[in-house]
Order: sequence, then C-alpha cells, then structure tokens
Amino acid sequence: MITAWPTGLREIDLLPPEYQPSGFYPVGELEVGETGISRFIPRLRHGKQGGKFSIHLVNYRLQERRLLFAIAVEKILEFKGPNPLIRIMRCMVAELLRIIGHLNCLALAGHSVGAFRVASEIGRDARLIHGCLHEMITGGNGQNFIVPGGFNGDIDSSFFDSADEVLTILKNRLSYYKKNLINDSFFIARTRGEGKIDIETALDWGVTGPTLRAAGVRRDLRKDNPHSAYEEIKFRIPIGKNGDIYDRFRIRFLELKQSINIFKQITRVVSGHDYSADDLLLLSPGKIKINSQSHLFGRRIVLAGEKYDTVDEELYCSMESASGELGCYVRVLENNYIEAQLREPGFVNFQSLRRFAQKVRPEDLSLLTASLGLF
Amino acid sequence: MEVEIANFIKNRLEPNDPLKVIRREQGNQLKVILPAQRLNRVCRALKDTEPYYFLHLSDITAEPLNRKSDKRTHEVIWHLYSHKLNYRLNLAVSLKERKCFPDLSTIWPSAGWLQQRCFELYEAKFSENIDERQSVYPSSFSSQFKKFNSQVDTGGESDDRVEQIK
Repeated sequence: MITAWPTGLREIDLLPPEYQPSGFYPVGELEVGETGISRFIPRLRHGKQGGKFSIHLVNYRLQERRLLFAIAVEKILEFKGPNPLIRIMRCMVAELLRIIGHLNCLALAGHSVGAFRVASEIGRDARLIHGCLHEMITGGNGQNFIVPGGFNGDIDSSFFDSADEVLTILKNRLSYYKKNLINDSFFIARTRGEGKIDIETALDWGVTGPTLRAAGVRRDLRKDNPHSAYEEIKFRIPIGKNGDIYDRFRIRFLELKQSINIFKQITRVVSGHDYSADDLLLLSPGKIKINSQSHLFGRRIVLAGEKYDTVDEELYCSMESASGELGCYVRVLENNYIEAQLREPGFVNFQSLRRFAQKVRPEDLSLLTASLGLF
Repeated sequence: MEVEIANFIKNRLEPNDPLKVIRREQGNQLKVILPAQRLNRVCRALKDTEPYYFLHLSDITAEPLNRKSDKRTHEVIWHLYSHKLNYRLNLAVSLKERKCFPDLSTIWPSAGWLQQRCFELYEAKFSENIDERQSVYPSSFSSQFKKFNSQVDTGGESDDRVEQIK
C-alpha cells in the first residue's frame, strides 16, 4: 500500500529543472492505485528554459542530428566520398556523443536514487567530454561544423590529446561508478524488477536502443546498418535478460566501455596530426550553405549553388544514438531544397510510458524516465 | 527480397487495386504505394507473417500538399523495419485533401503520437487517435511545411529564403 502519494490524477515533472531542455521536456499526469501507478498520460511541455546543464543537452542533440543529416544527404545525392579519414572521424564524433548521452542518463539515475555525489561526478565527466567536443566544433565553423561532405573546419592535433586524456580518466573512473552506482545495493533494490518491458511490448511500442537491448534483442544500427567506418571497427553489443530498469542502466554502463574502446581504436589511427578543412571536406566551403530553421522534428534546408539530378528522390536513413534509433527522412525538391524530418528516439520512447509506467511505484517514475533516455 | 515482398503485398490486394513499387538503391529500401483501404490488411500480414515480421514502425512522414502536379493530394509514408530480414520497407498512401488516412495504432501502438505529429506538421488527418489541438508542438509553432504551402498558395511569389541564400 502506497501512502506517500495521494491517489487521483495529478501532474508531475519527469525531469529535474537542471535537465529540462529549452525545447521540450516530458511531464505526465498520473493516477496512483494500491499497486502503484494505475494510469499515466504522457505529455510534452514546451518552451521552459532550463538550467545551465540543459544547454549541453541541447547542443549535443543538435550535433547528433547534424551528423545524421549529413550522412543522409550524401546518400541521397550520391556523393562519391566521404574519404576514409572523414568516415573514421565521424565515428569518433558519434561515439563521443553517445558517451555524453549515456553519462547524462546515469547521472540522472544517480539523482533519482539520492546518490548525489556520484551523480554530480558523472555529470562533471559528461561536461568534460562535452568541453572537448565543443573545442573541436567551435575551432571549426561554429555549429555548422558537421556538414554534408565532411567537416567544415580544421581539427587540431591537440584535440586528440585532450579527448584521449579525458577518456582515459573516464575509463579509470568506471570502476568507481560501478561500485557506487551500478553495484550499489540500494540502487539495485530500487531498480531490479521494476519497469519490466518484454520483447513483444517493446517492439510494439517502437522503443529502440539500450531499452530494446536490455529486453534481450541484439539490435544495434552500428552493426545492422553501419554508417561511416563502423564496419571496420570491432566492438561488442551487450544485451540484457530481464528488461527492467536495472538492466537498462547496466547496458548503458557496458556500452560506455565499448564506446571508450572504439574511441581508442580510432585515435590510434588518426592522432598526432593536424587536419585542415581541405582534408576533411569534399566540397568547397562556398558550395554548402545551410539555411536551417531547425525544430525538434521538422526542418527545411537549402544547399545552395548546386543543381541536383535527383529531384523527387527520397530516403530514410538512421543511426544509433544514445537513446535509440535516430532517423532522418530526406527528400530532394526543386530549387535546391532538401527537406528533412527527424525521428527522435526520445519522442517515441516517451509515448510508451503510457504502457510501461503502469504498476511502477510513483517514486520510481524518474528512474524509468532516465532509463528510457527521454531527454 | 524486393520481388518477394512486392508479390506478397500484391497477393493481399484485390485484382483491380493499383500498386506501384519503387526501389531505392542507395539505402537498400523499397517504397510501395498502395490503396488506403487495403493498408490495414497488408500491414497486419507484414507484421504477423513469417519470414517478414515487420515488427517495428520506425516513423510516419508525409509529403505536404501542393508539392505535386495534383495540388490537393497528400502522401503519407509508413517506415517499417524487419529485424529478422534487416530490411526497411516504406509503405505509402496518397489521398485527396481532407480525406482520412487509416489508423495503424491497433497494429503498432507506437503509431499514435507519430500520427499526431504528422497531423500537426503536414495537416494529414487520420481516422482515429488525433487530438485536433496542437499537442505535440507548442501552440506558437507553425510548421515549416505549412509556411511553405502558404507561400506557394499566394500566387507564385518567390521564396525569399532562397533569394536570401543566393
């Protein structure tokens, strides 16, 4: 019998204020019964400006989308490249973005169970990695660093050194996180057996990424439908058995290790050199001007100065992000327009809370939210 | 694979039903345009029948109004994925404006919000599961696609965003 939560329909925020991005963040109305949540209605709330941390969240999401958009445009316009160097650099950026995403989820898990010290340390590591990436991106051409055709700027050799140093620190700290969060008896008691999702339900509700892998489906788009240089990189896909909240966080933790290993493999190939934009961009910079009035799910983009033979072609392209399948549907139009629509994994995962939140203890709802990667 | 899937879908249609199959070489994808009234039957078969098992509905997208020569026609595309075959299939349905597209949330519950988003972005209506209020996007948000459509509607004026870039 739950006494701490009054029964009846009431609205709650699913993320603490410092995690609420400025665009959308999840809220819900829940009704609590005797065995836990009896009814949950997920909603999106718009336009609330969050804390400092949210700026990081928004930025790394944006870079993930830019990367996928670049890959999709190259595919649909049948660019001859990108060259091996660009392909391998893209894997590196994708892995850094994944690491930030997983660390954010684990930090939110720590917040939710009251392990504030571990949570703040994980958050600090996420910010360190974000700092490396930010340095690389602003060293180029601001937010337009990842573009169709490659990278729109130079990459200094010091980037590899600093990123390698930060990831080495992170690798050494993983055992600390494992001991104080993943293997912590209180954390296990709160998460094991809670919020179980079986394979059939997970597939029906369209969830992807660590949530699906925790349920026992070995599906990772980096293996199934590899982009860039993922075919040449060796890594394992950890899967879970129970599909509960604990398994989802454990999968994220194991994937962190894999991502660090991938990064190390890549740096062995590319580190120690400066790379100029000429090496990293197939088209001359003047050819690519992106006019993007971006929104979370819809955007319209113009690549100026080119005439395409592939008008009315369309393509669905996807890549594995930290929360699951990030999809991009692109279509080439007349007047040099390329139209893109994004599939946000968090958006699809969030609506599944209507089903998955049932019978979960209301105090575990924030853990469930974090495990699904909803932000 | 493409031929087998196309034949499988064709066998689920009535003899006189139109069917158009487009193969996309870049992404190893197939696009099939079929009549709206057969969509539910075909999707159920694709989901339940071995060896296809298209269990995953990735996304629902649409082509805005005014895009094609027939200016009042919507096209909605359902992006399906089979884990077993590691294959992506795009099913499309074209309908005149203000006609309702079939609701697939009984087959894939994840279709609910995707349909709602499609409605808010492209004004494509579905037979069920649509909240007429703008619930996915904030009320202040006006879709890029709607803006583009309204510009086309106002008598062939040039798109100033293109001018600005050139």
